[in-house]
Amino acid sequence: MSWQDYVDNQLIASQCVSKACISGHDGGIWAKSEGFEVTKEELAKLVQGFDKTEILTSGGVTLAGQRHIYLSGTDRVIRAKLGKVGVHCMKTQQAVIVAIYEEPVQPQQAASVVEKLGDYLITCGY
Amino acid sequence: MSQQGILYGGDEIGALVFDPGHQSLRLGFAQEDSPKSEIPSVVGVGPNTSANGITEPEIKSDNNITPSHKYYIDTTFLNVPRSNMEIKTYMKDGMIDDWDLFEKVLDYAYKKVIMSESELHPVLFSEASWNTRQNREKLTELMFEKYNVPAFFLVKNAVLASFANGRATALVVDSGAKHTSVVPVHEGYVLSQAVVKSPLGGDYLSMQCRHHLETQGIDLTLGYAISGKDVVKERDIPRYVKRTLPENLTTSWQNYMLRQQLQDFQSTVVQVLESPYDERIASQIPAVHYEFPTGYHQDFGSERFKLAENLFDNTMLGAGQLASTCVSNCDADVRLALYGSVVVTGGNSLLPGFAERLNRDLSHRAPSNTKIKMIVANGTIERRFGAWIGGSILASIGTFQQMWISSQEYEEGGKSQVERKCP
Repeated sequence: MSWQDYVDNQLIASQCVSKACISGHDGGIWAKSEGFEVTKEELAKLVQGFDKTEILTSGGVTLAGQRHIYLSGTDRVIRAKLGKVGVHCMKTQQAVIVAIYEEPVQPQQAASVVEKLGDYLITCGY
Repeated sequence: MSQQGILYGGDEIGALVFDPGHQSLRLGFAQEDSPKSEIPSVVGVGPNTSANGITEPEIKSDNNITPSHKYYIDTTFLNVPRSNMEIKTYMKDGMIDDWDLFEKVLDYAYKKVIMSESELHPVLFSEASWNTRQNREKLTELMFEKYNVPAFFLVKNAVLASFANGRATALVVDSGAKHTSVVPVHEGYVLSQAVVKSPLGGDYLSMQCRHHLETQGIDLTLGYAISGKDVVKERDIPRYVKRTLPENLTTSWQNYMLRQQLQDFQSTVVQVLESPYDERIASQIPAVHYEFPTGYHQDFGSERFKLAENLFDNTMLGAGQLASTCVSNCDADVRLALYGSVVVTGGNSLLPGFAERLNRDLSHRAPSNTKIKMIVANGTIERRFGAWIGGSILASIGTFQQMWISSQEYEEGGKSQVERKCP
């Protein structure tokens, strides 16, 4: 499966995620869904935020120009929110999966979709 | 909704809400407006020699024979003077620490309070906003494996307290027995990096009171040790007859009983001044009269304001300082919303003057022109059981029913499901 397939058929198709992207740890975009204009710099900052949460707690999580408020996270997962839109990101061995979901999707639903894909990628070595 | 495999008829959800804290474990049924029971967060542990109590069966096997203990749970068993009964708490730092003792309390709760099988009721637990992943998984495992609950969910107690006060975004100031914590909640989610807490809570205040009363030379003999007393004039030495008590009453039990007496003194006498302590202002406010179990009684004047002052004037740990540190750790966009919705909860916050003083301290520390709105429930029940009530509300909402972790999901995903499903 190509990376674009992963984005379209695994993440978007679940109907729990409205926009998504998969990128490397440097921020380089491997695949993204239509209309999701996230930049390499935003992703690179996000990746740094997994280890150093201070970057995100004060400045928020910026994706496609929208600044979301950082909620919580671990060294593998980041959760953020802005109004009706939520963000769930997961870091795998070589990649980062970013998913945006909107009401009425619950954070738990988006979380399970993203993390299932993430766990699968980790077992593949990505 | 039937995707979860739970059958329920219409409004009849029958979920249980548990809210463990340092003072007590609040538990009851969802949809009710107050907990059915408040079990003290301590367990009496005594040797297995006499009658009355819950026995741990001796393991008769070829290897280690564990010495059996008797466990005494809940007020009616705890408040009786008994030889060699140690008082132990299962809570530490706001989280459940001693799991064996906690299991005993849960067994008691199901048997005597809920009086029903654990398999029949979904369970909602509250947790500290700084709860560790390990503890959450341990609790999830315990509920599903031992009690076979049909569904389970964990929510941070700050979120529940803000729901109970009708808010999804709030700065929750929770002043309880062990801690005073300030937790920012944004749209129902805790901003975990900004949580601050201090150990200055109700228990600290009790220690201050004890110290003050002992330096004043007031006899703190308690009710259980007195068999009769005479009426004396104010500030006269009390005259009473001591009761013969069982020998070997442990220090931990005596301290536990003393703590209850101090809490009574604290809630009757102690008050917080609206501005930093000033001898002149304090002496103008009428004194409060208090009588001790020995029969000794006196008026308490300005010193009762001094006792609570440490909760506020401490440079780093004072309640106002905690709140402003917390807000400054949050994203700049939410700060205004947080100041506009400060929820005050927790039993210790019932001290007269607590909320007013907090308001003043906050307005001095917040940037000028910030509108600060305090949401302070009036009744004692709403503040002592804030988190429990929030849990009761949450567990009854229709849209919540799809969010439970069902036993099926637990079997498929294991205990790490809790990290995913309970943010």
